[in-house]
Amino acid sequence: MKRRRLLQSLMASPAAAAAAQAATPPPAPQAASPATEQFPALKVTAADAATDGVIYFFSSEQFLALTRLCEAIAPAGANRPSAVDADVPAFLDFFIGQSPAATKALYRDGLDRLVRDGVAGASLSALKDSWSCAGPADAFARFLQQAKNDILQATMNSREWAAAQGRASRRDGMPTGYFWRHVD
Amino acid sequence: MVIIGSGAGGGMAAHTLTRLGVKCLMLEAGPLFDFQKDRSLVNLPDLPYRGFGQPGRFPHVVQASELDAEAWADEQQNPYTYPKDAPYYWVRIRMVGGKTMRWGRASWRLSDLEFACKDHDGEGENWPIRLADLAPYYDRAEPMFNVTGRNEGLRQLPDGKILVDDSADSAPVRRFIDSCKKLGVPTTKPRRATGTLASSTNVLLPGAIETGNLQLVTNAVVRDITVDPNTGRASGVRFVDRHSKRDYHVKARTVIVSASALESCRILLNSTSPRYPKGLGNSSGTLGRYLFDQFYVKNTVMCEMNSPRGRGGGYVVRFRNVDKREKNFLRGYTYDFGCGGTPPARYIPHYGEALYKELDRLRGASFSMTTMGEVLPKYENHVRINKDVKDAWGIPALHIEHKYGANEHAMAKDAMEMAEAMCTGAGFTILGRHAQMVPPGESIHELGTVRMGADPKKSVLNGYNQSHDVKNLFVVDGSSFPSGGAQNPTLTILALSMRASEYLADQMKKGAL
Ligand SMILES: Cc1cc2nc3c(=O)[nH]c(=O)nc-3n(C[C@H](O)[C@H](O)[C@H](O)COP(=O)(O)OP(=O)(O)OC[C@H]3O[C@@H](n4cnc5c(N)ncnc54)[C@H](O)[C@@H]3O)c2cc1C
Repeated sequence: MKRRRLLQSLMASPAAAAAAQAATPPPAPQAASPATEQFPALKVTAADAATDGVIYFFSSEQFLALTRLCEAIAPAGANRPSAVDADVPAFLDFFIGQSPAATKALYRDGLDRLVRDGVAGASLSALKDSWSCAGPADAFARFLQQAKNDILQATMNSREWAAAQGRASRRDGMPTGYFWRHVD
Repeated sequence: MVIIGSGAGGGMAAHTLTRLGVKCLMLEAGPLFDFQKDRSLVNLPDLPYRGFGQPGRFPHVVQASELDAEAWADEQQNPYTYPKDAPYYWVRIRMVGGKTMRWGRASWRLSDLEFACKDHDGEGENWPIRLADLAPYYDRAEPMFNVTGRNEGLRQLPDGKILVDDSADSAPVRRFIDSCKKLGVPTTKPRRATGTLASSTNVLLPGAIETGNLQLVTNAVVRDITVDPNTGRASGVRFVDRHSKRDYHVKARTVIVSASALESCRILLNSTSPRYPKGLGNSSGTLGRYLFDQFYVKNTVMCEMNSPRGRGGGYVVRFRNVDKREKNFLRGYTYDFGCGGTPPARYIPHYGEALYKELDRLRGASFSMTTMGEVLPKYENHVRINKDVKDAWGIPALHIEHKYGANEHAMAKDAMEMAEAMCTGAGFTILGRHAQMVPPGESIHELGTVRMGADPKKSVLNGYNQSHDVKNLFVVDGSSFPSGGAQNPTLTILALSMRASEYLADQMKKGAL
């Protein structure tokens, strides 16, 4: 079960749930059906829609700083989940943990500095510098710029974002795309 | 007849030859990919990397997305090397259809400014052919791919046999075109093949197979071309099965190589024998030399449009060094432009609520231009075999050395300044501008290394894509270009391959091969 759903479920009455289950009658034996001759497309669920990935890469201090940075860069709004609602800190722990060494170091060093200085307006001032092709010379400023892009993209590409946008525009369904399967 | 590779060049060769009754065997290194069966619609938020793709999987393929990662050649199985200070981004697709399975379909003709480039400004080498030689083949290739666009009657961008795109331009596109006019710069509609799936696999190969004259062998990784030591002619092709690694040899009367520019060169360089110690058909010593492409400056300018806003795009035609020598560089460049998106967040110097507010305000307001510039072919830009590195099938890999020079840098800077002038003239606000070229190779328009020419001492192929040294060897892909302009090359590859194939069939009929 998802971390952020845990609280809601703990608050629901366990006794009521048990009673509801007991009231369900056992299924009647089925007559032979043509189903054995057919193969329907079963609906399956992606792992991170059903449960949480294990946090393994950042230290707990770094993870806390990343969570605060996510809140600062991509807060919630009308029809818009925050980066934290969209589970971005846990996603980035996984994603940066698999990235090339230079990216790992950029994130770890940047987050260490945020652990030290706090995630306040002053420490994020480099995010207000205007764009240049070469990017900032300072490594911490480079970290902030990259984190901004990563956090924003991971938020906007999340299930939570798609659901909120769908609700706002009264459109059903998730954005889709054609996936190329491995052909050997 | 053995054809190596099933992309644009190989596909057109098979299409042309089989219709003329020539029996062909095509060797393709990759598998057959079926657009219907092998792609499935997925919910984007279900992608495990949220659209970023698996980190580090394709260090040199910025075009690979999480959706189409399986389309691109595996970089570990297919290694290559380059100097530490000069990375080369080699973008490859190994499946039936080659890179036409993912191409952007922009389809322009080259002009005599390219074919006779040396006559025009004294630099480089002329092609052994002119537009008049290739025009009849362009005329036939364009309708096969349903190319749409607008003919402008410009000498630097020859008209085509195309479906006319006379759609109305949006208000911001009209403002931009007016601004260009004031600067004396011509523009036109995009010119591209219709149908997002238009590729060798569905346009060229089905007809070839239907004739009964084409056998298509997939997963056949070619090692080298064998030679008859008595005649010096190509005698066959050695290949290895991608899965089982079983070795094969097939005899051939004639060999057509079209494995994409650098792979074709690699096959020839690996085809050494006592008679051809420096590679097949390399008496000139130019095999592997004069590597070039087109340089890209992606998002040279990113702007905010003024209102009324709108969508659409187009193409800025080359205007530099056409009628007179006017700048501190040779040749010229073009741009693709487009509008109606939202500028990427990196251009917006805010975060949090303020960032979202700006993104809302700028939704649909972007106008951007990408520069595509001509690159001068230079002897020192080259590929050679790196004997220390082999691919997953034990075939020696390529070492690639390609650096852009002063001419390209001067051109990129001019392109940035002109783009800014065009956009400010249209009343747009510049959010960012730059002249940073992407690494060589990234434009996916690698050309040269097996160039054609009138002089066998300075080139590998004649004007029919036929080896000067080995008469039954033809190379029909972009490796044959002596120069390339700024136009995307595939339409020219298709026309060259068609022309070479008809010549070849004719020569066979006459008993000359
Ligand atoms: C994303 C993208 C966008 C593009 N956009 C455009 C565009 O808008 N306009 C344009 O003109 N061009 C565009 N191109 C480039 C275009 O796709 C190529 O110019 C064209 O496909 C080249 O044709 P080719 O036959 O030389 O090579 P390819 O199409 O690459 O075909 C080569 C074939 O040879 C096979 N092969 C390689 N090595 C071996 C071997 N050893 N043995 C056997 N077979 C082998 C490969 O598997 C491949 O199937 C684009 C390319 C990409 C990837």
